[in-house]
Formats: sequence, C-alpha cells, structure tokens
Amino acid sequence: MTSEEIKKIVTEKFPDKLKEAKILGFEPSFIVEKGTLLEVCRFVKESKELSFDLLSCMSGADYPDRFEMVYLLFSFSRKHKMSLKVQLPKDNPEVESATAVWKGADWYEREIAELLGIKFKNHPDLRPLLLPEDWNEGYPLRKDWTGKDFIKMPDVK
Amino acid sequence: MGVMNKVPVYVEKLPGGAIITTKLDDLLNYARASSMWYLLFGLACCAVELMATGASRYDFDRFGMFFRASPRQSDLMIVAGTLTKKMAPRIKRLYDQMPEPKYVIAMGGCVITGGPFRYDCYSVEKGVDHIIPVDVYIPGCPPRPESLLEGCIKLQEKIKKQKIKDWA
Repeated sequence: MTSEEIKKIVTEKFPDKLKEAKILGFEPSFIVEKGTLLEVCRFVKESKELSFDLLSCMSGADYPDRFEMVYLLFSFSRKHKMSLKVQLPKDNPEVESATAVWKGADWYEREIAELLGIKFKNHPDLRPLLLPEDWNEGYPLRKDWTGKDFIKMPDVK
Repeated sequence: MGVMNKVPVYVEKLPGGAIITTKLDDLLNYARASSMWYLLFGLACCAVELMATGASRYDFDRFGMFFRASPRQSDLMIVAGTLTKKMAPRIKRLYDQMPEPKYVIAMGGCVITGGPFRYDCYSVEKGVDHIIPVDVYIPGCPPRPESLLEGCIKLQEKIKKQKIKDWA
C-alpha cells in the first residue's frame, strides 16, 4: 500500500483527532491527540488493509517546548511503514502505555521512563531497566540534566 | 641461566656445585616481574587489542604473562575498555579479590579520562583511577599491541625498583 493510501485511510477514520498528517520522506506520519493515541494504535493494528503488527521502534524526544513520543510501525504482511507521534507537555509528561496494543512496547517504555521521565499509564511493570541500581540523579537524557560528575562540552571556537 | 643474566648475583664455585649470593629484593622482584598473570576480562574494544596481544603474533607469553580466569590467581589487572558507572563497583570488587601484590594497567583513553565519553555523558566513569589505584597508563584509542607491550615493560621496570623495606 502506498503512503498516500495509508494517509487517506487514517485521515478518513479520524478526521478531527489528528493534529497533523503528512508524508515524511517516503512514510506517512501523523501527530495524534494525546487522549486518542490508543484508539489510533488499535485501529492501525487491527484494520485489515493497514495491519501494522510490529512496533519496530519507539523513542522519546526532548524539545525546548515539549516532549514527543515517536512510534515507528511496520507491517509484516503488507510490507509498509508509518509513524505516529504524540506531543506531551514539559511539566508532568504522561501518556497511555502502548503495551495494551503491542506487547513489545514494554521494555521501550521502561527505558524511556527512566531516561526521559515520561510516565506511562497502565504499564504492567515500570521498573528501571538500564541505569545503575542505586541511581538517584534524575532523568539523564533530558537536555537540562546535570549530574554529580557531569562535564559539559566546552565551547570550542 | 636466565636468573643470572637478569639479577645481580655473586657465584661461589664449590666442588659439585655453587653457592649463589644475591639480594632478596632482586630475586623477589625478578620473580614478580617475570610472571605477571593478568585477569582475563575486557570491557569494550580495547579488549580485542588485548586479545591480539595475548595471541601468538605479539605473544604476551614471552614476558611470562598469561591470563587467569580468576582474580584470586591474578597479579595484574588490565582495565581494557570503556568503564561505565554501572561496571565500576564490579571492577572494585574484582580488584579487592586479587591477592597482594597487585598491579593495575589502565589501557585506552576511556579508562584514563573517559575518552570520547568525557563530555555530555551520564553513564561513563571519568577515569578508572577514581575507583582503584593505577600503576601504568597506556593512551590510545585503542592502543596498538606494541603500546600495551611497552606499558608492560614499564610496569616491569617499576616492579624491579620495589624494596622489601617499603612493604607495609
């Protein structure tokens, strides 16, 4: 299925719930309202012609004015891709866990939660994943983070 | 007669044999410097260079150096590779398990200062000397086997200057 067709199907299904729908490079990309994320996820996974059965990558991003979650999807049966994005506020970033739709989101979300401090509601087990067991210095991938022996890159001009 | 070439000795010939007179310092240091068994472990890409040095082309064995898989049988710890903060307590633990006398070689930029991970990094220890004392630093990213051999020769020189009266 081409990117234009995917974009058409999703925009027709959710005419007023998408903040933005466009073709990024070759793949369709949608910015979804925070509250309707799971609904959109379920639709693109379960609909016959889209059938996005793999959450191939999931990432969190720290922008100056917002956090953003990016979900990269792939379909084994249709061999097409797309991405979903959700924008979250700087204070108290919180989003519904995607584990309800794709089980593989589990460890992605644990990692994002401990490194960026984004909370995932209804996640089955949100323990820290990678940082040292006694870590208590906050969320190191945030742009404004500094730690005990953190050394900022000096300006070299 | 390897010992007699490397340690200053006084040989007194007797019928049927000889008596060797030497300093205990020299004999002990010779033994220590000629059999530095290192702890077999690596943390990152420097470990590949360490393996190359241990293999036949560069041949650590001609210094009497040989890897041991247990810290309790090792004299030397070659910290090869990026030391993350999560790994640091484990390194300390391994070091504490080694019997005295023990020596440490810091191999590569990451272990000396944090290397490419010094700035803007939350996960890498900025030098293994924050964790354990280091005898010889070998810079490089990664150091060539020749550098590692040179570092081991420096460590041998250091060992040969030890004195029993300095023992704690």
